[in-house]
Amino acid sequence: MLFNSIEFAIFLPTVFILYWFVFKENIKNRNFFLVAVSYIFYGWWDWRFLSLIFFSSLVDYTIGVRLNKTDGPNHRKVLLILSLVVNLGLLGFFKYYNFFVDSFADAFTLFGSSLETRSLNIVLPVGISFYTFQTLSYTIDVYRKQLKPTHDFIAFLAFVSFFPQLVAGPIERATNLLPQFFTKKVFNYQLAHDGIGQIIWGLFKKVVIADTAATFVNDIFANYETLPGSTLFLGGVLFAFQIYGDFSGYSDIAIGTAKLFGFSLMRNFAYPYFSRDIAEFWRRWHISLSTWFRDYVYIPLGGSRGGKWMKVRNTMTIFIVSGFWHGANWTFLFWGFLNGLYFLPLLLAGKNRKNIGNVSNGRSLPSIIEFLQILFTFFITVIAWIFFRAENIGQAFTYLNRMFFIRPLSQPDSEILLFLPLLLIFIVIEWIQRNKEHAFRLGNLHPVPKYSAYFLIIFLISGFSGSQNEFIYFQF
Amino acid sequence: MKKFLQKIIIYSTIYFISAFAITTVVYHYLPDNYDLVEDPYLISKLNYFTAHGNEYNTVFIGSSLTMRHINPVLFDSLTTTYGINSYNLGLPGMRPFRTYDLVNRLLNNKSVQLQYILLELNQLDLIQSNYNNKSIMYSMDHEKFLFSIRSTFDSNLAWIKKCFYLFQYLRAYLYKYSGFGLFHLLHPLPISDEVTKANVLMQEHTEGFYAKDFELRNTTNDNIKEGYLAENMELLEDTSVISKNIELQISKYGQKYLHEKQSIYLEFLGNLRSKSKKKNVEIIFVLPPRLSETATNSIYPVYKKLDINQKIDLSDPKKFPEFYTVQNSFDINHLNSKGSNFYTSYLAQQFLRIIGGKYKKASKNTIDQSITSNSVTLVKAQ
Repeated sequence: MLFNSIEFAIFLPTVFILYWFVFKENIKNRNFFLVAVSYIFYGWWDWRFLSLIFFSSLVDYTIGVRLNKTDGPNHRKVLLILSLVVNLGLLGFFKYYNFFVDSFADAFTLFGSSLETRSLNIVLPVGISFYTFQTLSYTIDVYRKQLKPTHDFIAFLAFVSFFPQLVAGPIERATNLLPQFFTKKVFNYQLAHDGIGQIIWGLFKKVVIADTAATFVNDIFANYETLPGSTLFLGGVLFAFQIYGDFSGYSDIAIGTAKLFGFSLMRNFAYPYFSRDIAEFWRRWHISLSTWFRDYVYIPLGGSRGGKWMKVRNTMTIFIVSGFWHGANWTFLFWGFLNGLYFLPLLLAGKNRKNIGNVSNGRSLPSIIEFLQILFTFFITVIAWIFFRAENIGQAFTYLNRMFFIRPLSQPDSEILLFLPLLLIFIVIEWIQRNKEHAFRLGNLHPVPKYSAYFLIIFLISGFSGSQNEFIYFQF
Repeated sequence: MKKFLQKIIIYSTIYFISAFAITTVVYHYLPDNYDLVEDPYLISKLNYFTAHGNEYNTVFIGSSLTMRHINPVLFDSLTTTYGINSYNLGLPGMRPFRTYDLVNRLLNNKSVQLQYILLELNQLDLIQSNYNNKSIMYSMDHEKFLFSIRSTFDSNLAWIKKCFYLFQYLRAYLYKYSGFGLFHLLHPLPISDEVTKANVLMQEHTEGFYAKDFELRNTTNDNIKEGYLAENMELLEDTSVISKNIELQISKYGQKYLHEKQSIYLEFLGNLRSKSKKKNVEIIFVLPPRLSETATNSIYPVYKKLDINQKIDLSDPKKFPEFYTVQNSFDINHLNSKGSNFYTSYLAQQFLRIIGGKYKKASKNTIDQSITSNSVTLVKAQ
């Protein structure tokens, strides 16, 4: 079920009413209800994959219980490895099997011999990368004794399948989300009101910004061999906003929806395009994944405690793995690698934590230096996004070559220019609101401008809606 | 909680009322954007037709049953004595109201000098699942919504069907007037190379006609090829569909239809005809063969009430057995090029009856020649 669909528009109010009026009192019943509706939500795409999510939950629940019963380090390690093998095995099979088989065969052709391979027609279960990482974090935390395992299977199922964040995150930690299934919920008007605002803003980002940008981006990437460099540059910029609007829009809807049910999910985006350097960008972009890799890959590898070589190795590892997490394609790997390269100079110079906190705090405009830093950081992320969007590495390089050398200063397509004022208004709103959790938190504004803003944004969402475009991150 | 729900309900109501008012005003003052919302296939044909408005005096309007079946070149050759020059403005999937919108546009276009419009009769199936389709949105307005509701109640459809149609109309109406998709109406639909190619072919060689087997031969689009071949195979694997349709079409003549007055629909068609009369254009309603059961049950009672001189029935399997043979068929719903030539010939015959002309029966040779010439034309065009 898509957040921007008629089905969800019926599903959400129905679940909301039942949740607060029928299931609120008894925690067990409430959790059971949440599991049932989450499975309906997920099964709407393909009910067959419900068994997969159930199996994954069952394995980690059981391993969690077993880990609690044993203190033997070897036994505990075996249990952890079992969880890793099952979860990453499923992820590997569904997501990466064909990639490895094809790449293996391609490698053979490089040496002049051919290898007959058999690709499988595998359908990628929606959101598998997200819930796999979520369940893994639970097992690892229990293994590290940072979390007490739960003995309530229904609550655990609810934690893994909680519908607002099931298919595209935020990737929640058990330490944050799981305890919330054991507390009694009291309806909080302010929280629900804020949730509605965040849902509306998320829909605006998805429907108005991302989907509109997508129409231009798709056209530009399909015809990049004939278009001038200026249009290709705009294509890259628009894709940057498409993926931001799409993914952060989904996160806003997810977090806002959870708020309606009295749950608090972690923040996933913090105005990343106002970052002054790439390190700051990665602290603000897809925060739940970045911190996941930091806590479960980077730090266990040694983090930045070792020498320079170890820092470089660990940094490049998490960036490349992060790229690979996005999909089984060399373009994603290269995107991760490129971001790692961007990051290394800051790391080696010890300046990767230079820009902590919001830009231009206490001021309405950035300084010229800050402005140039923001522009430069955005520019290099656009270059990286071109690899992310391209179908293959060759296409990305041809695209960049044309972008820089074929009429880079010519007049771009006039239709794209019509979209730019809307984009500019969006950037200005986000800039003004950059100190808040989301840009549609209007606080103590007078009711007239406040509800007029609600009206305008909803009217724009309606006017721009029409086709139910899937969220990009569903494929990851 | 109560306060929250109250606020949601109050503000939603205010929103929908305001959005309805604003959207109504916007749509009222929005410049005509028919060419941005209609199918590029049709717009291209229509542009060509209006640019050559003084060359044609007859036009065929309807769905694929018109576009795939009526060959204007053959039609003109059979009616040449009466100075008929025709063009096919049929479009797959185009049904009322879109067909009536098109008729109105042609009647209001001064550069077009029409004498006859042969309009396919089809069920008033405005929406199907395309409530957010641009052309459906363009077509829907307050007047049409009310008409749809009244005519659905007035129809002989089963209650369950009525409810379904009412839901569809309501959804399309609310969708449009809540402001959904408003900005999409300002952008043209993308035109694929395949559409451009097909239109060039139709404009320059076949006067808007395109039989499915010709398209299959001509297309370079693998999806179209696969789809058409599958449809063709579906018919060859189970030809009983045709015999069932024969039974349906024969039985309709003896059937007593409940609530068959269909006065609202008839009134609408009467108004359309009066309007065309004022512009000296004669509308002739054509009942095509091989309509589905729902369409037949819905439209035949309407057809029955029309004046004999304004209608042509080509659906009778006893009179026109050629329309119900596998040899003349491409798929379950459509005739092939051979069948379309039979169809065109019979249509010309019936048309001449209405305009008081004398029909010279097309010999088998004429039809065969027509098929051959069409094939040659298409091969040349490729």
